[in-house]
Amino acid sequence: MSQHKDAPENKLLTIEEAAEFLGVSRGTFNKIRHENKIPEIVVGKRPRFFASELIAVLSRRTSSATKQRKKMRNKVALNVLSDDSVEDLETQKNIFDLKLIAQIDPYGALSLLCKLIVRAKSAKKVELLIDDRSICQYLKTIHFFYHLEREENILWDRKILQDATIQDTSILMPIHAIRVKGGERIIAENLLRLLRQQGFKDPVGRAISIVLGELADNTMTHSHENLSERVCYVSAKRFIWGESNCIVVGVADPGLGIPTTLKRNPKYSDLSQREALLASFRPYVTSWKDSPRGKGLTDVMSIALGNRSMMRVETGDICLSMDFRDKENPIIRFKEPMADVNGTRFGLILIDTNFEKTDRKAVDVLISERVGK
Amino acid sequence: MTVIKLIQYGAVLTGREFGADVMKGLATQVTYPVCLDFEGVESIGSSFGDEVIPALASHQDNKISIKNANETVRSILRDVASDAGIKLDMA
Repeated sequence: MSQHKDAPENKLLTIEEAAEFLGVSRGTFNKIRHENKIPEIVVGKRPRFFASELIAVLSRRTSSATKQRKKMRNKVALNVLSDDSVEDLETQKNIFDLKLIAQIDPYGALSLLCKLIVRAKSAKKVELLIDDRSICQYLKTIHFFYHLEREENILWDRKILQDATIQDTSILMPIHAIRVKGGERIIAENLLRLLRQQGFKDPVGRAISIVLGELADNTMTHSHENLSERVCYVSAKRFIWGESNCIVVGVADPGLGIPTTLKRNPKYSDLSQREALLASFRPYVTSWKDSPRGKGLTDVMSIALGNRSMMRVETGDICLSMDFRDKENPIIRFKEPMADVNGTRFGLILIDTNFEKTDRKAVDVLISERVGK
Repeated sequence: MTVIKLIQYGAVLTGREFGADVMKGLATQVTYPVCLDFEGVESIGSSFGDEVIPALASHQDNKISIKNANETVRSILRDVASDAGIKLDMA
């Protein structure tokens, strides 16, 4: 099909016209423009946009909205690997239907927990719809509801799960809230013992103890201005993936989030939120000025790389997904978050195998390549 | 040589502040040279290691002897030593 320069899709629009075209404010348009990297040409020092590029953006947004609506009608999977969101459970404003959950792992449970806790701070009332079937029973067994008890305005019918208990040997560690530095070491030691009893290889348990130690210590150091508000939730579960025995670990906090914390260091203050999240995994990148710190997240990633596993980290509305199963073609990409909420959520899958972490240089190279793209 | 058994601080040694606290305690009681015994220690975080290993090594020509460290611990110790420019003697 031939394209004529006067065709409507080839029309050049100013910022104001483009915003009107998409039906959004100028500020929102600027956000969309940067997020979608909409091509622009400069005419007389001012950017202009092809209508065809805006139609493409509109189409992607519509497709995303359709997908969202479709999810609303279906069951929702909340795990490290899924694309679903905890927002899919919010059938009405401040009403979350937990009956819609088909699958959930520690990462999903902690994402949902943080979402509800943060929402409860701003909403007068948050209601949970539950039943006495397996997912809600599982959530009760991992102490999910126990951790919500602190929030007075989160309501659910407690009688429904009053007598419910399930025996689930896949639960390695129910949700623990760490509120004091050092608490993570006791939890990590207990988990390590349990993993050994269950026949996991030593390198896996040891790696997990480092992951818990580094991430929880980060949270207890940075996550909130007010010391008493700092809390780190952790949980772990075993599962079979293909033919491999695996463990999935979730670590989360409803605090400031990695980019906000990192950008306190003037050296990184100009980075976008996404750039800051990526950069935080590079060695020696830290929120502390002139400090040799900033190795914890690098070590966590080097463990995931060495184990050839998967990791996911979310902060605010940004989600970074890492898939290291193919050694020659590691994938690091941004995707839709599971929970658009303040704070940070980590999900790490480790495969039960003898392995060694990679060196930090490999992590640095990988991140540098991703930043370059 | 003084042998410091690190298991007295736990099987999982992570956290920069914890490392700094441990080092503070060691600084008042050890006689150099020292050797670090990791028997029973399952893992160590680099932040903990950063606070302890270079500080001890600085009193003994930037060298330190390590024994009974598993491969996970050794791997982190190598990173710590590389960052701090110290030499490890791993038995």
